Amino acid sequence: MADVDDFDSLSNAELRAKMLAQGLPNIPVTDSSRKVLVKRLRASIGGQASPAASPKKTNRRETLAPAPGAPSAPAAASTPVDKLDGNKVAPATKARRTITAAEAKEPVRRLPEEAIRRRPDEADRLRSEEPVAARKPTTAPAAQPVQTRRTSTSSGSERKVVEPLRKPETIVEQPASSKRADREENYLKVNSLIVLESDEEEDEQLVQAADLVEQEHAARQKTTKLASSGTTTYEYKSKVVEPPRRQVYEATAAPVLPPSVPSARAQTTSSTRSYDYASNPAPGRYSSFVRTAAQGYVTAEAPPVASYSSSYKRTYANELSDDTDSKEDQYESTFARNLARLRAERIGDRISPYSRRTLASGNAGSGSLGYEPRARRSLRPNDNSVSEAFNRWLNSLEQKYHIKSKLFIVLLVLLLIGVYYIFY
Amino acid sequence: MSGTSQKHRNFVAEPMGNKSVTELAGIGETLGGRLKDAGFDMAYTVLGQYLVLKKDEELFKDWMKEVCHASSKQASDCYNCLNDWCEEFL
Repeated sequence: MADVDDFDSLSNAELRAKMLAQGLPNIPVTDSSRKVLVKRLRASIGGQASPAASPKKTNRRETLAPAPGAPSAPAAASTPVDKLDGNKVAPATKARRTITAAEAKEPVRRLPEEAIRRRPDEADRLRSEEPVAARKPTTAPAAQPVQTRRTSTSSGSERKVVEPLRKPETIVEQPASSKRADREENYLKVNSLIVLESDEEEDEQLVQAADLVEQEHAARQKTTKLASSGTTTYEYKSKVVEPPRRQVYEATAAPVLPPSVPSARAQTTSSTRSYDYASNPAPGRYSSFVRTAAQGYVTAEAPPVASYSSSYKRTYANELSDDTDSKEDQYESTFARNLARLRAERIGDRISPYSRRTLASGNAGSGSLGYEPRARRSLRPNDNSVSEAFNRWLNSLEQKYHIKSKLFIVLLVLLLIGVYYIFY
Repeated sequence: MSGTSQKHRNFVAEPMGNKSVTELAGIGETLGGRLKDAGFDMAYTVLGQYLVLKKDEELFKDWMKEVCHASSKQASDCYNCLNDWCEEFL
C-alpha cells in the first residue's frame, strides 16, 4: 500500500532511481512515460520472486507460472483441449507468435497488470505480489479465465463451438471423398473391365465363328468332294469353290458386322482369317486383348488387300488352285526384276529390243499410215546422220500433208499413163 | 510478420518532417484524435516518446495502449513504422 503511494507520489527523479535500484533500464521518466514506467516498476517489484533481470520477463514468467505452476491440472486441462480442437493449437501458437513479435507473452503479462490495476485495494495487490503461493489460489481460479481468454482472444470460443462441428464434417467428408474416389476407381475398373471383356468377347466370338466356318467349310469340301468324285468338271468345281472366294471378299465386311449375328455371312469368315485365329494359341486375358489390337488391324486391312491383290490377277483357273499365291509371287518377282533391270539400265541403252518391241507392239496394229515407231528423242542416240534427218523430214512432211499416199496416187497415175502410151 | 502496409511504406520512404500523427502506420483518426488530446499531435512527438523510451518495444506499446488505448496490432504497427523510419533516417 505504502509502496504504491510512494510510487505515485515519487518525483520523476526518485522514480528513476527506484527503477535503477530495481534493476530496470535507465529510462528517463517523463510525465508522458511515467505511468508506463510505474507499471513496469510495480511489475518488477511484484515479480521479484523470479530472478530475471528485466521486470517484463519476470512478469511474464509469473503470469505464465500459474499455468505450469499448477502443473498437473492446467497442463492436463490445456492439453486435452488442444488435442480436442485441432485448430486450437494453432491459435495458441498464433498468440505466441504475435506475442513474440511484440516481444513475447505480452497479453499474458497484461492480465496480471490489469488485474492489479483494477483492484482497488492495495492490500490485495501486495498479497498478490509478495507471495506467489498466495497468488496461486487467486490465479488458479483465474487460470481457467486465462485459458478462456486465450481462446476468446483468438475468437476461440466461437471456434470451439464450431470446430467440433467442423471436425465431424471433415471426418465425414474425408470418407465421403474417399468413397467417391473408390467409386470412381471402381467405375474405372468396371469400365476398363467392360472394355477388355468386350474385346475379349468379340475376339472369342470371332474365333468361334472362324472355327465354325472352318468346320463347315471342311465338311462342305468333304461333301463336295464326295459328291463331285463322279463328275469332276471344271465348271462344277469352280461353282463349288466360288463361295470361299466370295467369303474372301466378304471377310472385309465381316469384322464390321456384329459377330453375334448368326447370319451365314458373319459366320462365313475367310479361311485365311480363320486360319489366323486358329493358328493363335488359346488366348489368355491380356494376350487376347493385345492380340485383338494387333489382329483387328490385320483382319480389317490385311485380308482385303490380299484378296484384291490376288483377285487382280486371278482367273477362274487360278482361283481353283492354291498355287496362285506362288504364281503371284513369281509374277511379282519377275515384274520386280524387270523393273529393277529397267531402272538399272542407262538411258542410252533404252533402245534395246525390249523397249522397241513394247513401243512397236502398241503401234504395229494401227500402223496404217506407215508410222514407224521410234524411241523418244531423249532416249535416242546422238547420231544425227543425213538419212536420219531426211527420214525425220519425210516423217514431218507425211504427218502434215500425207505425202506418201499422194505420191502413191501420183505414181499410180503416171504408171497408168505410161502403160496407156506404151500400148496405144 | 507479413508484408507492410502502404501507409507504413509511405511513412518510411521519406523524412517525416511535420507529418501529422495520423500519418503513422497503425494510427487512424480515432487513435490520432486521442493522441492529439494527449498532446501528441505530430509524428515527431510520438517519435520523441519512442526515443525517450529508448526504442523499447514493450514500453512503447504499453505507452501506446495507455495513451490512446491502441490495440496490440496498432501499437505494433506504429512501433514498426517508427523503428523502420529510425533505421532509415536516424
